[in-house]
Amino acid sequence: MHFNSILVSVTEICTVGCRHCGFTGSTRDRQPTADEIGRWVAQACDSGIPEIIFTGGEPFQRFRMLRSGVGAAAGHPGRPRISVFTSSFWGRSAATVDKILGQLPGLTRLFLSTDVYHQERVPTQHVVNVIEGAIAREIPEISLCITIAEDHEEERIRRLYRRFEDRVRVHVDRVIPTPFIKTAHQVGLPPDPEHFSASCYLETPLINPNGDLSACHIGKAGAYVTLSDLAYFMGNLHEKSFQEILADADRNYEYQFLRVYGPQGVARMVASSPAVRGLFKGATFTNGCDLCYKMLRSLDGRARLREIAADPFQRELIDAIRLVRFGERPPEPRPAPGAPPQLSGAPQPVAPQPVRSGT
Amino acid sequence: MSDSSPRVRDLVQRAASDPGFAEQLLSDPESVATEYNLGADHIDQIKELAGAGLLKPAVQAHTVPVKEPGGGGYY
Repeated sequence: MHFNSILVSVTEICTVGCRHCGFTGSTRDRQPTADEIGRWVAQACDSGIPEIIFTGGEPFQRFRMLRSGVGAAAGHPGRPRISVFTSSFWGRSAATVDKILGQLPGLTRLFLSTDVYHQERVPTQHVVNVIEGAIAREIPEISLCITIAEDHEEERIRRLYRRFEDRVRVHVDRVIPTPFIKTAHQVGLPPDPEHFSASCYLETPLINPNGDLSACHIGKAGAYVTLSDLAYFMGNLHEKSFQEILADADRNYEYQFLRVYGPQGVARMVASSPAVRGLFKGATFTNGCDLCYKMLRSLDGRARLREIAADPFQRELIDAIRLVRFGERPPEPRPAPGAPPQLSGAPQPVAPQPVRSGT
Repeated sequence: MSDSSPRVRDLVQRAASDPGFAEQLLSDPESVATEYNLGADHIDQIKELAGAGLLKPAVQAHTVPVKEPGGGGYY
C-alpha cells in the first residue's frame, strides 16, 4: 500500500500543557522502550515508507527514545526523510538548541507547533532559537504548524515569524473541538461531500507508544478512548509485524473505504444513511477529521460503514478506485473455503444501499 | 465471469484513461450502464465519483498539511 509518511509517537508525555491539545484531560503516560522504537521504525522503513515523522506528546521530553528512532531511520538503507514535531519548549538558548540538534544527525525536517495556544506556554523566542539553530545545522525543511480556532489568529502568528518567510513553510489547520476549548466562533462545515476532500491524513498512519498502528493521527485519541473496534485500528506491533498488519489492512474494506474516499466519502455516507443523517442533523464540523471521528464514534456511523464494506459492489468499486488512484492491485483472496469475507467488524445481514449523496 | 456480470473495474479503468469515455459517463450514464451491465443506482454512484474527480490518480498526496477545507491537522 502507498503511504507518504508515518507518524511515530515516542511518548504521550508532554508537560507543556496547551489548552487546545487533544491529550488534555487524559493520563497520557504510555511510552515504548528505545529498542521498540528502533525496531518499529526499521520495519516501517523496510516497507518503503519514505518519511518517518516523530511526534508525541512532546518527543523532546523523551530524548533517548527520539534519538533511538532518528538513529534507526538515519541508518536505514531506504534513506527516508526524518521529521520531528515539537513545541520548541527546549529552545531556551542558541547553545542549547545546537547541542540538542547535534545529537540528531540525519534529521531533515522540523515541524514547529506555534499558535495562540502554544504561545501561552512556550515563548516565541524559543521557537525563533530553534528555527535559527535548524538553519545553522542545515536542516533542509522547517515548517510552522499553526492551529487556529478563529481566522485572525493566523495573521497574528505569521507576523511573529515574518523575517523567516523565505525559509519556513507555514501550515494552518483548524483546531478539533475538545471539551476544554471554546470553538463556538469557528467556521462550521455541514456534512455535505462538496465541503470535504477525498484525500486526507490516511496517507500517514500512526504508531502509538503501546505499539498500536492506527490509520492516521486520530489514533492519538487512543490515549483516552478505546479505538480498537474502529476502522482506524490496524493492529498492534507487539502481536504482529508491520508487514503482517499491512497485509490485514489490505483486505479490510472499512479501512480501504476511508483511504479511497477520505472525508468526502464519509460525508457521502452521512447523506446515504437516514439514521446518520438524523444523528448529525444541523451539526457542523471544523474539518474532515472532525467529521470522520464523530461518524466512526457513533454506532449508526459504524453500522453504515460495516454495511458498505460488506456489499460486493462497493468492494469491487473500492478495488477499482484503489487501482486508479494509488496503483494498488486488489488483494488476493485468502484460501479459506466457505469462510465469510474478512472485515474488521462483524457485518450485519442488511440489504446494501447506494452510497451516493442526496438520497 | 459471465457476460452479464457487472464490469465495475473495467468501467473505472476506462473512465480513468479515456477522457471521451469519462465524458460519456457523465453525459449519458444509461448507455454506459448497459454496456457494463450495471444498474441505475450503481452507475449513479460511479458517475458521482467521476464528477468528484475520484477516477484519477491521486497525484499530490498530503505529505505535508495543506490549507484546504476538509483537511485536518496532526497535533
